[in-house]
Amino acid sequence: MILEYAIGAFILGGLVGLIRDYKATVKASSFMAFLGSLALLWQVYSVYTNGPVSGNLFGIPLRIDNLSIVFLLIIGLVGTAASLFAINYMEMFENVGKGWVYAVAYNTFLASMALVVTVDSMEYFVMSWELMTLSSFILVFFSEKLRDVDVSVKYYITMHFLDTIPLFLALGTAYSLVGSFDKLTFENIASAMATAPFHTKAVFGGLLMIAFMTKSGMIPFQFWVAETYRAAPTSVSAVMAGAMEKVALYGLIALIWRIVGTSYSLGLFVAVIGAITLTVGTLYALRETNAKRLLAYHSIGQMGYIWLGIGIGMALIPKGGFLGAVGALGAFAGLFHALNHAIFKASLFLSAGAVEYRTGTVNLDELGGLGRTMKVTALAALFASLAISGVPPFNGFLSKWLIYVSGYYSHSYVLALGAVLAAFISAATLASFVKFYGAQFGGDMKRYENVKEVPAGMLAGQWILAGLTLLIGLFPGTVTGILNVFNAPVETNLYKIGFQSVFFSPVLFVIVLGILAFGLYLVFKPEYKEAKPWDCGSTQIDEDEYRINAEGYYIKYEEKIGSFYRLGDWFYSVGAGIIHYIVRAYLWMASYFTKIVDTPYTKVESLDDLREREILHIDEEVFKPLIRFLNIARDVLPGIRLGTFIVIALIVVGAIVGLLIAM
Amino acid sequence: MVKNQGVMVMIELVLISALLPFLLLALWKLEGKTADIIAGSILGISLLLNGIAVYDFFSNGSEKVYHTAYVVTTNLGEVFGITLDTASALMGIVSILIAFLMVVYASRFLESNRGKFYALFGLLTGASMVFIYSINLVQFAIALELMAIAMLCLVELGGAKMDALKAFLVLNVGVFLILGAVLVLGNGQDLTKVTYDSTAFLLLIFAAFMMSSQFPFYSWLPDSTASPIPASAYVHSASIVPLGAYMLFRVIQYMKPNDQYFWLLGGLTVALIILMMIYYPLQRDAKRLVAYSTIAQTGVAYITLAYALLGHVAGIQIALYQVVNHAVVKALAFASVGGLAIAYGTTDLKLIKGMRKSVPWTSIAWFMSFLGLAGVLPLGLFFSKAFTIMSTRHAEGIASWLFPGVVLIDAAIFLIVVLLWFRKSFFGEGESRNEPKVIVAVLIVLIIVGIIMPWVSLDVVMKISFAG
Repeated sequence: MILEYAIGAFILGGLVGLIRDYKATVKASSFMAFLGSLALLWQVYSVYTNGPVSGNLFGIPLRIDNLSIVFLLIIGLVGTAASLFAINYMEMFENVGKGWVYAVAYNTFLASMALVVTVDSMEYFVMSWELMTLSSFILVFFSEKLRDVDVSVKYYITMHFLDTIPLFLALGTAYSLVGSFDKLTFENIASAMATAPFHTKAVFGGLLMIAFMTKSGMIPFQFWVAETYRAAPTSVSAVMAGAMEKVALYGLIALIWRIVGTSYSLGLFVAVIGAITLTVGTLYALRETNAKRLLAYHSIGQMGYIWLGIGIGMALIPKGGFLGAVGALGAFAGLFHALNHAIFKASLFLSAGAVEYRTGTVNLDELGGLGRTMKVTALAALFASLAISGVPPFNGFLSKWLIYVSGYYSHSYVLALGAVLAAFISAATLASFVKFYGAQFGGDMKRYENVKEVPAGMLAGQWILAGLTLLIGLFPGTVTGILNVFNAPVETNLYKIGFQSVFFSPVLFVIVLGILAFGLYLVFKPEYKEAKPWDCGSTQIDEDEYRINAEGYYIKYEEKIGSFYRLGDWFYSVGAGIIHYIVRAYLWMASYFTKIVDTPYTKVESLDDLREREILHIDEEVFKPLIRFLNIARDVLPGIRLGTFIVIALIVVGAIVGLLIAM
Repeated sequence: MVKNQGVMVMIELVLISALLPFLLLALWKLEGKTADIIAGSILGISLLLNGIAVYDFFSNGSEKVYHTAYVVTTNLGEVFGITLDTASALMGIVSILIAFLMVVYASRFLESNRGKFYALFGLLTGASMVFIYSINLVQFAIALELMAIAMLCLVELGGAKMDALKAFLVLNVGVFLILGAVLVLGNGQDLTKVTYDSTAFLLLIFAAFMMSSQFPFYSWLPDSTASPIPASAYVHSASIVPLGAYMLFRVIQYMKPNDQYFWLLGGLTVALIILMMIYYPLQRDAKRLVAYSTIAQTGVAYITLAYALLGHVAGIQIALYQVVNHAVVKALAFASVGGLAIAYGTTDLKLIKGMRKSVPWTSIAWFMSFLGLAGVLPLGLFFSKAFTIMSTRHAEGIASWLFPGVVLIDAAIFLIVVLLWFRKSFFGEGESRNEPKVIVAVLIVLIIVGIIMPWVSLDVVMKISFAG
């Protein structure tokens, strides 16, 4: 299996950490990760052309089928670009040192994701999943800044409660059905599940649903996403947003849909969760002024689109007939959008990383005018921004459009409403990316006049993905074959993509648009006049301040939907309140397990107050009379030392054993 | 039982490796480098001999049981013998390996009283090894008595007389409970001839609880962390505490009890684990935090043993799997805490700052082992936790939720506590501090063993079955 080469490259990439020099380590390990990711793509091609393969890696059973390769493709593409980018980007963290931690964690991160989507055993699925969470946790605190360390801790605790615990319980449920440690393949679990009672299915499916919703940042488990993606090194954020979220989608399809099965109501649940998430995520993104947090909220939103598509599939495919076909289209569109989102979101993160590399900040309020100095990066960011906003002829348009189509044809008000909402929210995405692009690259800014374009490797990383947004957008036929896991009746050739009577031809669109634009240009020739801002003759004011900053872009609209944000904040405060009361309850309970020694009536405000006290042990308290008696005996009897106890014990035990043997 | 020349040699190697550590008692008056070298070499030889025997054992096919009785009485049957099977081979090599590493570790850790320490440590190691290869209750009781004596003196060496006495008394209660079981069983104390007796089994459950610091006497273990850290490490990881679970494992393996005490064993353990969850956040001393986790992690082994009472062989397999994986992680945890003690002069986590910069190797070991105790990869408790959850989810009725649920929540709470300390103590500025090379080497070996252990030991424990 080619996957072995990939894993081998990742292992080598981790071993590169043995080099002492920071720069050499991060460069070499990123390069090995790049090679490993390329090998993943090779594996995708091989399975696509030769069919599914099964195998064994260090005793771990693997099976790479048509669903696995969709996700391997995602991981491979994002991994290739982000690793190439990281070769230079990771230099930024030289003052932190510990290149080997990056080498090990980053390569493990990629390898574990590849394993999650290819292992054929529930145990190893959980193991790979945990490895993925652990390595991403380590990468999140890589900068060692206090705020980032806090974020990483919150991320890991969240993942432990909402991912690890449900996954372990689901694993246990699977074992209790199959009854054998070494036969926990997905196929065996599925056949055991087929005859299982409903409540077992509900428990297994429900536990997994919590885990996968959390990892893909679905409402109400989205709270960890924004800060986590902000804290991680940007090349890692690209992989987290591009690939790690999608791995949860693989879980949804491979473990819930394929093992537990689906029904109209389950599909509806997934779709509704998706619709809510895409709305909330995108609207929250709109008010962000930190580039990485903005992108993170859009990841939440875009994952909502994907879940909507997959939900339509899960709801309608069981119905068969025309609706079954519509369902298959929805699921296909969901997967298509998963691929597209991986490409443009990772690309956007890399662009933000490029800007960070040169300016040291991702705060949109402080940025501007980079379009003049970082032209190549700016163009890549423009491509990806148009793609995420669903503007033709970029790839995001096609998958979003197919989700809308499947929603409209679904004969279900709920699903249709979801699709309408999705189309509507797409406008908010566009608005958000006007800000994202405009605030960084638009206008002039003296401060950044001498900024240089980033090195070629970083540009290549961005352009692998940015180029694909256009390539797939123009020629969707290049990927639809791999993506059509659900046998959707999608008609594609080089020039068009469509479903029954509806179709879209990107090539035709570009030709028509091009002619139109050229014609308009000729008819209404634009005229430019450059003018300096008038500063009332002052010489003190910094010209860089004469611009709308990111915060000001949509401030009026944000005020209009202020109650929406307040609702979100209210939910957040409810969550915080619950945690607060759990802590209070714990402190109250735990105070009974400490001894009040010198200062009675001190109020216990925090854990530290309790930690100052002596610990109370129940057994000690119960047997206190005996201990007192022993103390008295020690004081009364002369010459008692610890040695005395040894002698007594030896004599007594010896006597008993002797008696037992003799009797 | 198979006997021939090669087998005799193998058994004798095991016997010698178990008895050699007692030689360390002769170091009582010695001090300095000589003591270090002699102690290290004796346990090294012991490890080597044991390793050869274990290699022989596994290359001859691991399903066999080799047994030699050395002392047999008319009334009680065998009272001293060596049994080499999958379980004792695995437990024995883990125990002697950790003992050896801890002696090496101690050579850089102790400042005074080295001779005494080595003598007592030798007594503890020898008694533990004799315990491991036993399948008769008298031998268990005597070995435990020796361990109790060693423990008493080791804790006293740390300057905590009352705590030493407490540990000694509780362990002696254990000894008497075992002897009580001998009284009930008579000839059946030789486990190869045992038939199920509910009174004896009940006594043995509580004897095991005494050893593992379970219900009702749980406080001796955290208090006994006053003993020198290498000794604590051994006691917690591969001696007295896990051997309680190991003894009950043996009893269940041979006695094949019914599920009469399923809820007693499972319920009391669950209650104690819940109690431990309350204690974790209250600790600021890393040693004590680890001690409470030992109680809970050994409890996890008892939970799977309760599952075995339902007649599932997976229960005893996974219990041993938990014990050996816990052994390495726990030894690493203590070793890292010892590293902190050397560098900072304290194990109070509140006083430790900037661990990563000050003691890079120790901080890696700390990070891996403390998270590892919560069942985080790549160390073995992740796997044994997974297998515990799998098997106990298969238990009956409410236990199928309660047992795995408690194990998971316990790990989660421990994880939160560790991460909160991680946030405070791990990063930040810190000047470079003393990190002896020997200690770093031990840490590295333990990390490597800890990563390999779950993969190797899984295949081994899966060969364990009920006797007969």
